[in-house]
Amino acid sequence: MDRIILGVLNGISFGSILFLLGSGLSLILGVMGILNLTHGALYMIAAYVGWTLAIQCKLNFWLAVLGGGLAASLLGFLIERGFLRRLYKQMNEQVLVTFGFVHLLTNLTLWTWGTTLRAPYTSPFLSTSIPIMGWSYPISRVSIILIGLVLAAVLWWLQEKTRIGAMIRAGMDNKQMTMGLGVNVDKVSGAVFLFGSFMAGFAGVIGSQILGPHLEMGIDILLMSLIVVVVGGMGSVQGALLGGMLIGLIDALGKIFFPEMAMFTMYLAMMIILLVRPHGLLGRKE
Amino acid sequence: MEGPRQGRLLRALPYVGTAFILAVLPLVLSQYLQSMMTKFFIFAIFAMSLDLIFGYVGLISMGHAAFFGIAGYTCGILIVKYGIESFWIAAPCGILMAGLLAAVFGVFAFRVSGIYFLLVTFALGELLYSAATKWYSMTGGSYGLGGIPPPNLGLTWLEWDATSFYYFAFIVLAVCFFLLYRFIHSPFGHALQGIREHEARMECLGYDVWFYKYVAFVISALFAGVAGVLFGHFNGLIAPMHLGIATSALGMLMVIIGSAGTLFGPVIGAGVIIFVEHYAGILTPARWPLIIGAVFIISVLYFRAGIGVYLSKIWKRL
Amino acid sequence: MEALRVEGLTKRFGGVQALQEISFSVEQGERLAIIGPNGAGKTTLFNVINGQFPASAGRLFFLGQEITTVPTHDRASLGLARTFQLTSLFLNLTVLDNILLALHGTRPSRFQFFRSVHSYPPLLQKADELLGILELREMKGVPVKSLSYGEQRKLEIALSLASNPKMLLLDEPGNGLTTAESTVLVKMIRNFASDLTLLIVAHDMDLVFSVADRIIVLHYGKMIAEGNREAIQADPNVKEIYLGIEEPAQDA
Repeated sequence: MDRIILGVLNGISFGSILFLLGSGLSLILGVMGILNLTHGALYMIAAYVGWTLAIQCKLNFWLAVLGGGLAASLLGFLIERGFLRRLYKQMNEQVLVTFGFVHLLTNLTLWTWGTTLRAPYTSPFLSTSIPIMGWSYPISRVSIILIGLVLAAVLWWLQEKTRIGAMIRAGMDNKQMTMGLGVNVDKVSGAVFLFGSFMAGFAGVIGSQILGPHLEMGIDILLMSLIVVVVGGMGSVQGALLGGMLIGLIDALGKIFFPEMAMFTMYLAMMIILLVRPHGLLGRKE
Repeated sequence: MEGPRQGRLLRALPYVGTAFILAVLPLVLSQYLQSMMTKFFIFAIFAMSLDLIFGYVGLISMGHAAFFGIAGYTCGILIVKYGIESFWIAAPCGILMAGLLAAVFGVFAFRVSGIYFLLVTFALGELLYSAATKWYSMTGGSYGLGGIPPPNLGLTWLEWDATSFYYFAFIVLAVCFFLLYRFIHSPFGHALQGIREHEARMECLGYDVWFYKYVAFVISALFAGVAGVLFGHFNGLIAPMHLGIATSALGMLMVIIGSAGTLFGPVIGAGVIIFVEHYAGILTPARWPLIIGAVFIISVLYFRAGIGVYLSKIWKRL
Repeated sequence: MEALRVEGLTKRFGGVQALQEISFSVEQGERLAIIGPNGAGKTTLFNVINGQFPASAGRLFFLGQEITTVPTHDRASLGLARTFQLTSLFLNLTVLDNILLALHGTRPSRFQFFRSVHSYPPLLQKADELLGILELREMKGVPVKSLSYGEQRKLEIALSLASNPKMLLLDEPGNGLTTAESTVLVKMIRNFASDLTLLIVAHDMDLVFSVADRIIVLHYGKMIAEGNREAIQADPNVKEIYLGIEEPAQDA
């Protein structure tokens, strides 16, 4: 029973990370029609940058988080402006180009930081644990859950209650019409990409508290984020949150009960959702 | 267009010529290069199979390697785990397995289209990837299924070396090319192109579009399976990566670079990719993913139409 | 013999009633025109008759046989053909290949997967005849996207005639044609076989009046008038909704 509770907590904290990534991915896909496979690589690079800032330069952890986020958004910006702009709605080409970038970026990361494994890192403030059910549970994980929930609330508010949110949702439903109404959809798209990339970077450093930076994390987390977006639904904050939590829980509980089958189950869920309800559980219907 | 005799001979010329050159090439190539050419032949079949559904029908699949891999695994497992000796039993089983997978998957997959189809084919590949990685007892897990011997064709005089593999793969490629060529130019194949151009119109003309897509999908899976079976024997090893996005994306890149919808184009595309992969691997082993990544990016952005189209234009001018 | 009977046909898209309780019948060989302002549901009606949209309610009968749930491609095999408002040709294929696709469409040869599509002499001959009638013979080997708009519209009609249909749905055939081209179109329609049943959706009243035996007027998905030319011209309902009846509508 204790294991289950801890498993659930682990699932929720990992789910928060997935939510952060998934919402960026989902937004970018919904608003710009771009399937951004580099999202995972940005996550990874931010984790390494954060490590450099926090451990090598001994900066404050939160500065490292910021640094990672900025690095990710800068890279994302360059990739989007330089390359992805020209491929609106050309799904196949996007996949190939972003896939190419994954190879490129992973190799660059390898080049810069080498293959030594790095341990998870966090702020000294968060490195203690609190007792839960007789077990010592890391505060860092709790902080992740809290951050995730706060951001979910903020993003949801942005999506539903602000003008910017309305513009974005309109842009998702009908680009032409929104442009006709005088909204500069291009600028909005660019901003969305920037923001989504920042979130990926942010998640990358925050997530490094659980899992230290390593070279496979880009692809691993990307695949899971993709599942999150599909299952939870494209284009909505609530979808990413639901998807993130579901997948996080499957992953954590899967590790306890059926460790061999966790990934398999996730892909199966993804396929079933795609075939039965393509726009996901809470996605915007196209 | 069926013109006079000369027209037909003229059109066959590049194919016959290339075939001839490829047939005599082993006389001048080292064993090592012959091996590389063999790999090229195998992936040419894979690329052509993908071209069938992507270039001709217009379906975007990011999971085609699922059929490649499952055929290779099935054939390999039958030989290594179950002691089936004859190529003539193991290989068709592998190929049929690929077709079966497509037949079952296709029933559901065609309910969705566009990006959802892309995602669901992707999910198939990854699903099989994770299954292969975990099912250690059957598939050797993430180390892959090794120890696959060269094909036992029942020919006692045949000794397997680089040259024999070369000709074996070459013959299979030639047969596959011929079959696919006839298929493309048949009324059925033509209908596939019509579907790519305007589905609704085809329905109104009397074509059951779903049926055509489904059959094309299964056939392309069968040919991907042929490549997979060959690869298993040639490489001696089949690994989970041969089921997943890495191999699928590579195949897609070959088709796009070579020109989708031309059949011979993807063959060229396969050659280009195999050679780049090879030489980058030799010259800068640490940096080769970077190079292959750059190749992906540059070719998709700047060589979108593909080499095949470019070559056809040159040929027409001659 | 009735070629087509439509009973209580209704089509809903979510909350929108595109067609409401449409009922009419068409005799074999009759030329029926369907007119109405933009958005009246004319193309939707065609889409339902054709099978591309399933009806929400009502029944359809073609040559005495119920086709309400029969899929589009089977309706084509029964002898129902249509053209599209927006040219829907196979742009990257040649003119000849377009015609051949249309010819094979209702023949068992469409399942052939080994013989070359160009190796059916009787079909090549039929293609040649069709191209001759439409004066497109010289364009045989040209990819359709290089054709002029008028030539494409001609090809559009050629494709639907290829299967020797018993009933043809012409959706705005005169769309975008010059006056000269329209005159040619009218002549062509007049020369169609007399046992070919025609349903025409059109905005061009000259075309409608020169070709149609009977006219149906749609408005917001409902049938508001039916009759021959004189009856329609005299109908007060029609006049009310259709001011400016002589101007062909400019489509976006």
